[in-house]
Amino acid sequence: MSDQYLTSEDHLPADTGGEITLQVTDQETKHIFTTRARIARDAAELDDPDPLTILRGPHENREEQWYIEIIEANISEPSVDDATLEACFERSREGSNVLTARGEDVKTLVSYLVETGEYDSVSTAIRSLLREHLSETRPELVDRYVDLRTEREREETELRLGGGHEK
Amino acid sequence: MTHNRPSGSPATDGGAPADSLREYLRALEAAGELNRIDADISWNLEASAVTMLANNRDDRVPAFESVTDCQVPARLVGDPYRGSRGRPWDRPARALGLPPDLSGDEYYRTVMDRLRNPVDPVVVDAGAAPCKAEIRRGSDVDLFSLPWPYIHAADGGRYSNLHTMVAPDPDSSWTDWSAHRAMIQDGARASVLLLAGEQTPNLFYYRYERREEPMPVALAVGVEPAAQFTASMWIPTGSDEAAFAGGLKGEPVELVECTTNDLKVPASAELVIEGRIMPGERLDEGPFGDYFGYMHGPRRSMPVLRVDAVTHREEPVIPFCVEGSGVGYSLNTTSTTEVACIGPDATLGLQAAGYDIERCVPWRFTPRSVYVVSTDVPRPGYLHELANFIFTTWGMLHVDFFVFVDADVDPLSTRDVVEALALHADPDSDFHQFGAETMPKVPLNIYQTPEEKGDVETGTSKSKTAKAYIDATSDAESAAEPAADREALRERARSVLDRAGVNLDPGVTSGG
Repeated sequence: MSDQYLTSEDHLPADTGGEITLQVTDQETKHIFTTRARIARDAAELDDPDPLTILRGPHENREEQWYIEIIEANISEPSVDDATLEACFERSREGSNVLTARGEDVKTLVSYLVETGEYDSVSTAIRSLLREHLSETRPELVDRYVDLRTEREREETELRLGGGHEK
Repeated sequence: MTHNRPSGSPATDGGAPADSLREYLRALEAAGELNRIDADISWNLEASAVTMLANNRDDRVPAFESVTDCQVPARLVGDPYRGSRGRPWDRPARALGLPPDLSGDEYYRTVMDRLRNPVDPVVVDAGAAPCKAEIRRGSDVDLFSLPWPYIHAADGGRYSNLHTMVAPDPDSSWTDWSAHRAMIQDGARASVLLLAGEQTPNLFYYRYERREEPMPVALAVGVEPAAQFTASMWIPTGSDEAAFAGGLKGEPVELVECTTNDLKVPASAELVIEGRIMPGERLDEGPFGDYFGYMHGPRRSMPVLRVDAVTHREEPVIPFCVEGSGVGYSLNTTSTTEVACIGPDATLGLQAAGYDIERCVPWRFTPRSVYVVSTDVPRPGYLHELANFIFTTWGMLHVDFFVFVDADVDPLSTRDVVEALALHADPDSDFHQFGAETMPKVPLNIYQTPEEKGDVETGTSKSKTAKAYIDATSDAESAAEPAADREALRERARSVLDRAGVNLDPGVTSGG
């Protein structure tokens, strides 16, 4: 293993602050793995920084120099079951989109966040927190969901423009 | 040309076909066409850089005897089947035991004749199989202990890109051999480029994955030449690929059962990766310096091969191809096997389908994109019908367009084809768009932006495309000119040019 890493902007979460999950490539061995880490543009922001090259652009031919502090190397993200994701997506669109859960602890904590002004409402808080959490811990799942939603929207737009009817 | 065989008769008087990759390399060495490099070479760009230089200079095939930073003693060989620039078929001919001085026409006829006569394989015990000298299973497997090359700066990872992928049809006894590159992810996983529309990808996406079942596969790396060539061909679905390899070789290919599944692989392999391609699992594949000659992005999500075992010879030789170096004026293994293997196979296929074509030849400097077909045109609409057959059967994904030339034009001669284009292809009436915007487009194409290509799971581009063909056959008036007169005129012109000191064989004609 070397102490220089590389990743694609495709793998960066929307919020790069704090602890994140990131797929990186070891620049020396070309070993590809997913790691728990912190990253920053400025090495001084990290306790134990190693160079991280972020490749940008559709052909990944633009480089940005960042730094990474690996907390846990080679963690594995559970694989995404596309069929299940698609079924969940269709159920959410066709049926009720209300999410119910019971939990005293969660309600207390979320209520605190709302009452102290961090979020406008309980539902906004839950949506935001879950999205942030999944972006960090399950980026592949979020990516696949976004792909699926984009594809459906594109199909619907094509149908409308072509004068067709949605199913 | 030095041999005395009657023109057009199949060649049968060559040496013995090579039984293994290393035997073929020894034959190259004996002919002074192998460059054994003993100096330490890294798998990290060095081996591919040397190979690219050799390709660009039409030099000997480089064999790297001392590869640094690999735990398992192993060697690399760069583009072992690259043909010489003027005669792409010469090294494949040597590998198959054919005379290396065959003309292009003789080579095509010979290979087609062999493919018409399949030879059933024989199955040998594991103890007799060279590829079982070392066996590693389960947690003992570490792909990174082997020197998979990092081929182009900015590739997404290290690749195995010159192997035979063996995969079974779940609903019959048919087993497909194919070539799909694999990007090594970690010690036990690789992502495999499976583009829907091709045989093995269709098996995975439309049979195994829909049933949520893993597809057992074996990547046989460095198999004997006849097996390697067969994997690149479009052998009809349901046919025994090993028997075609035997036909090509002129004797049975030896197979051996895998250690962790019941697939059979060429026993001659230098190394075999056994595993399963998992349903619903995807990992990055690419970017990769692709066969078009440019860096292909974006990275795509491709199916995941989980490795169950690796078996190999002592000090295995791992072959690789520097993709992208086979365009323009140079050749590599991909462009060579297109011309020397896929061309005869396609010719045979079209003839078997009832089209009385002379030859179907991939244009050697644009691997897979452009094919030239020499043919008579017996009736109006014939070329459209022929194009329809090709594009809706095997050519739909990679082939962008065809050039049809007269049956007496040598499609292996770039000069003759360009001459036919210049003389007979009327820009107003002979350039035909085909299947306008309804054909699948290979996502590796150079025409679309990465955004347009999208990231569809099954690999094909989101958008469709048109294919095209150019009718560069002569019209009835010029076709009426007696061939003998034209040949006499050509000879006279050659004679004048020769006397003027013009080099008539600059290395881009079919030679022979």
